[in-house]
Amino acid sequence: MPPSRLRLTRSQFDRLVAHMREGLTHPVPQKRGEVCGLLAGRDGVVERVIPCENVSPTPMTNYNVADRDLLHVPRIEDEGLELVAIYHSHPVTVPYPSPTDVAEARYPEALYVLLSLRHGAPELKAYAIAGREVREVTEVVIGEG
Amino acid sequence: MAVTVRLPGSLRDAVGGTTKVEASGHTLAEVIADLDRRYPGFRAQILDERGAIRTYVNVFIGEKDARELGGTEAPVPEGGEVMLIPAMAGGAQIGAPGGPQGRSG
Repeated sequence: MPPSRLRLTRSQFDRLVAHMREGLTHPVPQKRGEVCGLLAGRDGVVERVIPCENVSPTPMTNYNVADRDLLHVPRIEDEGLELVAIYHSHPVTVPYPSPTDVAEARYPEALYVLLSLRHGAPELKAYAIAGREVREVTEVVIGEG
Repeated sequence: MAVTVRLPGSLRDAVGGTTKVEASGHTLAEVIADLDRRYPGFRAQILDERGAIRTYVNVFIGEKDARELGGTEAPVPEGGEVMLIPAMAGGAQIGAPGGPQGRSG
């Protein structure tokens, strides 16, 4: 079961937004686009943000976490933490899982966090994806720190 | 040859929900076969009809990509770890490449 809530600090949220902005201003134009990464913690409370490399050949509309970054998953478990969420950005579209996001979701124990800058101000939404069902997790708290 | 197989994500359902299981075998193929005997249907989660590792499954022996070590014929060291990690991918386009890098599907 995925967490029923997502809690992160302001600095963790800022780290996610900075990663998203980095994706839009990558020095290599062909690499600009969606960013992706992992959130590690316990019971929905984020303890660590782990940015990963998007190696999709079409990063403006797709993400694909680099093989070597997938090794963070067992390492998270070795540290006594859980994979709280997999995050990626939709730079100019809604922060809602696309049909491809849903079809490719293979971690039912984690939340899927979507980031967007479609309106200029950063948005963050969290979802549980199981089978082909998408359920928004409404308890998302960005606290102090 | 006893090894530990780690399975995060949806692959854990193929072994009863656990993220870590012991298995035996000298090669990746033998380890998969051992688990398939104990958990019928496991092999089909990892290998396709041709016996190749499915594109959306990343297999590491230790921290080395099994595809670079010989695929299913890759040797597995005694006491070692085999990690079966599903791809993490997505995107706005249906049917766009979303599997492991450089591989279709």
